[in-house]
Amino acid sequence: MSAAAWVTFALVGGFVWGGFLCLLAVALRKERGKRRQDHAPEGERGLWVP
Amino acid sequence: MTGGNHLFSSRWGMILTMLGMAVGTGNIWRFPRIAASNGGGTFLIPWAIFLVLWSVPLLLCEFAMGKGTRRGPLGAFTALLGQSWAWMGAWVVLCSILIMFYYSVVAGWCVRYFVAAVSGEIPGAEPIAFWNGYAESGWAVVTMLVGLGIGLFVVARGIRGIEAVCRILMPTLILLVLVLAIRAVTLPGAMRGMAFLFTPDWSGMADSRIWLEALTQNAWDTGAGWGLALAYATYLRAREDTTINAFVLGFGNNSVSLLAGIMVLCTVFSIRPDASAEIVGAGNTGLTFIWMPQLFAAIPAGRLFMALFFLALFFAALTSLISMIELGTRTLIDRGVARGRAIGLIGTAGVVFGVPSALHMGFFDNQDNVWGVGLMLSGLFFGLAILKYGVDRFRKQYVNSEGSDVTIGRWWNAAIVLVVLEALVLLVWWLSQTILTEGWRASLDPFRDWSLGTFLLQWGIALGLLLALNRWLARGQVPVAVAERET
Repeated sequence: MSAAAWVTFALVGGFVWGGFLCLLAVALRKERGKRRQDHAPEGERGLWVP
Repeated sequence: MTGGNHLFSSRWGMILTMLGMAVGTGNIWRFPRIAASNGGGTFLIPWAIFLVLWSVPLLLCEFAMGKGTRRGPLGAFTALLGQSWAWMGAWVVLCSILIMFYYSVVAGWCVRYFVAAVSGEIPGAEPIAFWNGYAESGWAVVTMLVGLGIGLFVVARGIRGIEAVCRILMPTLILLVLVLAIRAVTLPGAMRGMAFLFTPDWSGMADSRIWLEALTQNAWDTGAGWGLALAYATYLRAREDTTINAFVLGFGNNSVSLLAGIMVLCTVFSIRPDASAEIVGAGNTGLTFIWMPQLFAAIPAGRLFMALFFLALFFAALTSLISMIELGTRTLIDRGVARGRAIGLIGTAGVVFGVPSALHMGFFDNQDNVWGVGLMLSGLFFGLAILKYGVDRFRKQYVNSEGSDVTIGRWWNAAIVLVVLEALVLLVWWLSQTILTEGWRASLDPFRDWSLGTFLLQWGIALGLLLALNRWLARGQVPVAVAERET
């Protein structure tokens, strides 16, 4: 494979696969934050910002 | 309304269900073919750009409309724009339902080929003989009924049933594609396929056809503008985010496409580099059902990998078919029909209108062309609906709503305007290409599988009927609370 092909592979693969994995990680982290908020004692609700 | 069995149980389940909708056979059989025939690396750059400029803005729009109105496309368009515009939502539903009729045939093909791969019936001495003996036969009807029956059985269980099935099928599908891609990359000579897929030709970037193909692939591939994401979004929990989920869906779908491209092209270039142009030019069914069995047969443990390939294809087809059935079901539920009865009606229509596609490839191709391109109009209608409602008003009221993890800025307003422009450019380009290629007289013949005439005739009949029935379509909706009891 030529250098140009490797660069395209890295750019497109990094954008699509990297983007997907990063977004998925953020989505699941936000969800954990919301769940923690749901189970927090009454007085502590709203303090934890996901 | 934060819980209840009529909503998704978790974000993970929702993401997998949405991915099940978006990842279909188009990712596995269309993307590699289109990428290969449009310059490989040259195609990938506009394809990645249109993911952000077409798919994600439209998916975001569908998520927001579904969650905000709690209705399928017909009810959502009516709620947003008023009763005069119900026909637009009905067009979106009609297009996807008509695709469902012939898509169940595709699901059936995948079932048959999986069985044939396990039993060793394919590739056989004469690879095309198996396809010729099966397609358009009674067995194609039987396998279509199997695919449709499984889909109806799952949808009858409601959104929690769909979610439970997708929680199993989607991780399995991604794993299968990953295993097959790794196998393909490790074949001798596979790097020729990688080089073909990823080498850019910068002069090709000025070719408008490549940009339009990249846009079309994104439109068909991600399911943006089909109304399917909207139908599923009616089951989002109140605290559920719309923005990041829409991005995850678009990027997740294209991730599977890219893996499938590597899997197919590395296999083709490793086994038959001499016939690569012929193989990728053989069309979706030619590549998948005639060439792939021959290619798999030539690699060690090929029968196993062939069976895994068709199993992955079936899972992709089934999860997308389920979302199409659910779209029809949800539309009827919004009109006060109980889920069980709605399933019965959709199933009956699926059998009646699916059988002609199973028995006649010409009819199948005609429907695939007419309603596949019709999705461009669906995407356009979504964009126009938001413009009419007010892009900024929609963004503030529906997109940046309760539960959103991030706030979407004004860039989305511009993106929606761009979506409308893209859809218009694409439609004009497609019209002009058809006329230029075939000439006025031939292109207006309405009785050919592929002609402008057949498109205009069928679209005209559909739009005429929907406009005539607009008042009835708009008024038949039951209150959201009643519909939710039926889900």
